[in-house]
Amino acid sequence: MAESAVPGRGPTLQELLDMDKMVLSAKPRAAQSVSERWMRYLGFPGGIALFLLVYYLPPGAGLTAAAQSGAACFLLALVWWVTEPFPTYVTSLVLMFLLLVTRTSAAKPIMDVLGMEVIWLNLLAFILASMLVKTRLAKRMSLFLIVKFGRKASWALMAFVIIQLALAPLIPATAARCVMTLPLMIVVANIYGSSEEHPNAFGKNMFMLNLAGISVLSSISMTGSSANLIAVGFIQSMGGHRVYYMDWMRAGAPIAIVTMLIMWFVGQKMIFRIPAAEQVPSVDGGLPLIEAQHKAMGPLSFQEKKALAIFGVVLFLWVSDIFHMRWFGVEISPPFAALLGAVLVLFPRWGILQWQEADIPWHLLIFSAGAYAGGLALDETGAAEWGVRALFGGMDLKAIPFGAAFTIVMAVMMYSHLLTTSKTVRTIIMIPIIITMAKTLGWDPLSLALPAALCIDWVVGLPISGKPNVILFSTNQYSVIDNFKYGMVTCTVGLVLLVISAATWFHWLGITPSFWAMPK
Amino acid sequence: MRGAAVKSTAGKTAATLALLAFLPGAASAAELGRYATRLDVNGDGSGRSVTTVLAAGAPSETFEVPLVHGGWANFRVTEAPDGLQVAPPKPKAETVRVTLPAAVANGAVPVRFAFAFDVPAALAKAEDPSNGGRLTMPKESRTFRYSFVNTQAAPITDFSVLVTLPEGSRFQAIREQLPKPKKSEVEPRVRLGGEGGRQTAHLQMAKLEQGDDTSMQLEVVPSRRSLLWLAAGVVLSALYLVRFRDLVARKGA
Repeated sequence: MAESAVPGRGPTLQELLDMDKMVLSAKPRAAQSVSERWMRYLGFPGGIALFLLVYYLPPGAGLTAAAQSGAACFLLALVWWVTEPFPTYVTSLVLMFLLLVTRTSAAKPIMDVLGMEVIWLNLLAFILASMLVKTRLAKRMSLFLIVKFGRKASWALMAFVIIQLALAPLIPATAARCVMTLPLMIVVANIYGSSEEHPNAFGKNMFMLNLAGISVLSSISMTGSSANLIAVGFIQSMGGHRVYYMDWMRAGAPIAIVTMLIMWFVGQKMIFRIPAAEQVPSVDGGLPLIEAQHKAMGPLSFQEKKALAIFGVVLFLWVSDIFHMRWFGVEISPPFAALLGAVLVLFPRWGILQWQEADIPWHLLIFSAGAYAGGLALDETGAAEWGVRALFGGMDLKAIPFGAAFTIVMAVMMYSHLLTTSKTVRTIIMIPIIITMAKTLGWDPLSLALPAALCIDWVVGLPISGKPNVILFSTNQYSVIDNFKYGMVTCTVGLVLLVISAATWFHWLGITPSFWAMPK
Repeated sequence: MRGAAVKSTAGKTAATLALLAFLPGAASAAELGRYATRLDVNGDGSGRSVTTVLAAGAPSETFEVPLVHGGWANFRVTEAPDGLQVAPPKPKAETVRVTLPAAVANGAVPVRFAFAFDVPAALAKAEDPSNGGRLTMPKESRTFRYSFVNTQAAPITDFSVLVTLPEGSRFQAIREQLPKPKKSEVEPRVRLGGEGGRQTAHLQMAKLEQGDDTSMQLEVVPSRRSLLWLAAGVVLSALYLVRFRDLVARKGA
């Protein structure tokens, strides 16, 4: 993050725009309030207490010992990730060690997570983002955004909603979308006075709104994430319904877009209220100086054009993946498209970056690896599926009308992301159970499974809930509590919209039966 | 279950299938609607298996019912309707010959019968440290292995095995469950449960045609867990609360 050059005075525009200094910090985030300090202090023994409680519980009939140990380890890590007695990446390393010594997982699957596709995509996307920073393309785009929309903070925030809305159908990888737009977020937040040292309401709105945008807007289309496609596969093979692209979009797009508009408004007016002083850029000279700076950048340089071309190649490969087999005889997956981009960026003489200029936050990758190892252990030992079945099995859904059952199922699906770190794993566990439950209750599987699938991407509750969450949290501009508060409001808005849709829009589309119908 | 296990190698299955053509029951029209085995494992690792079969076929029809191969003793018929004949199998036999009653209504009503046998070594030591090899499991671990091949012409519509562990034991992990469930199958191949405070594993599969096989392998450990984790957790927590108390100390204190 940029640091003020001279103590006692605010940063100049030049300092704010010096993006070379804006590395994703690996240093631990300082506790910002008394309650956060207490959380850290009690989080360590709290996590251990929860671990011991679950570990020594009488054996659950449907659980293996490995599953019980895995749940204990994961809960310990969850408490430590949230309360942060250690940096998140240290907690991940502890979790990986615990998974081994409690015999939850073998060494190889734990170590293999660092080689997962998603980790590679993160790494390569950071190289591409470094290219945008070094060539000043990110600076140019940030200044353009502020000049066009920055007369008022609200409109600058809206500009980011529109950017995320435009990128969502183009780039299915949420981490890539996040990394590409992160430099813009940091600079714009800085211009409005929000920094790592002094985060303000605008900054919190900026990062949380982008987090919501990256996640929630992925549910607009069935290609928004690979987990969406897995859900579509289950609905077809187990539920007997083929879901077409437009079927998904008709159901998902209105809810996602309306939620984002509500969060844009509610965020700045109620959750993190932006005072009048933060409504305008907090730079000496104000907007005219920013306009002047934008003009002073002149036309695109050769390096910027080169960066645009490389980024264009990668973007083209990302959006055209369904044609790859026809064109090339092989599918170039998103990580390999980014890999090609990285090769071009790092190419000797003709490239743009030296390896040491790439800002690769290894601590984030280690954190992600630990979170994935924990999530996969819960899946492979059957602990996660056991938990979901136990939850639904404890409810008598046969005695209540469709609308009530729908609300319960959607609430479980929506908030269950707080206990998982992978959308794919959550989808593989939840969607088949929901389809089976719908059949048992006599409802059309589509009526519960498709709306539940629309919740897959809403992983906004905690900094560990998804890759963009981890990346944005590393900016140190908001706390876990801020994230939880904003995420819960987002999920609740989405849930309310889903329930209203079940009674109206989905019913008119033929997805759901009458809201008050009783099971057959 | 070491003694009762079947090595479901492709070669063995192929050889069995080749032999089937010459067996008298190979052209049987009989069908096994249900083949349900219940195996209670004792504390010493031995077990008692009871298999209940629902069979439908022509009057007086004779057919072979697959038996869990090898490692059984003391075979006895525990339930049979009048007129049903079960030929006592020879030691290490892999099938049992059954003749339906003459008065049976030609396949319309299935005939229910049951047989039981003892399994001397249902739980096997996971690894033997005496041969000098490197251990990959704790020495107190045991392995339970069950596999079944439908070697006979009669298809099995609903196949299941319920294994009940002795008190004081539990499953550490399911190491193998085959075949992998198809997308259309909701239930996992092996589901764990409990009965009277004892942990159970239920292997199920629908439609086992001739040559189809299914298996499970589970690691069994003592239920009681080491108190080492408790001690380590308490010590670490106490140390942290003391050494990190400055986190919540008032400024100037």
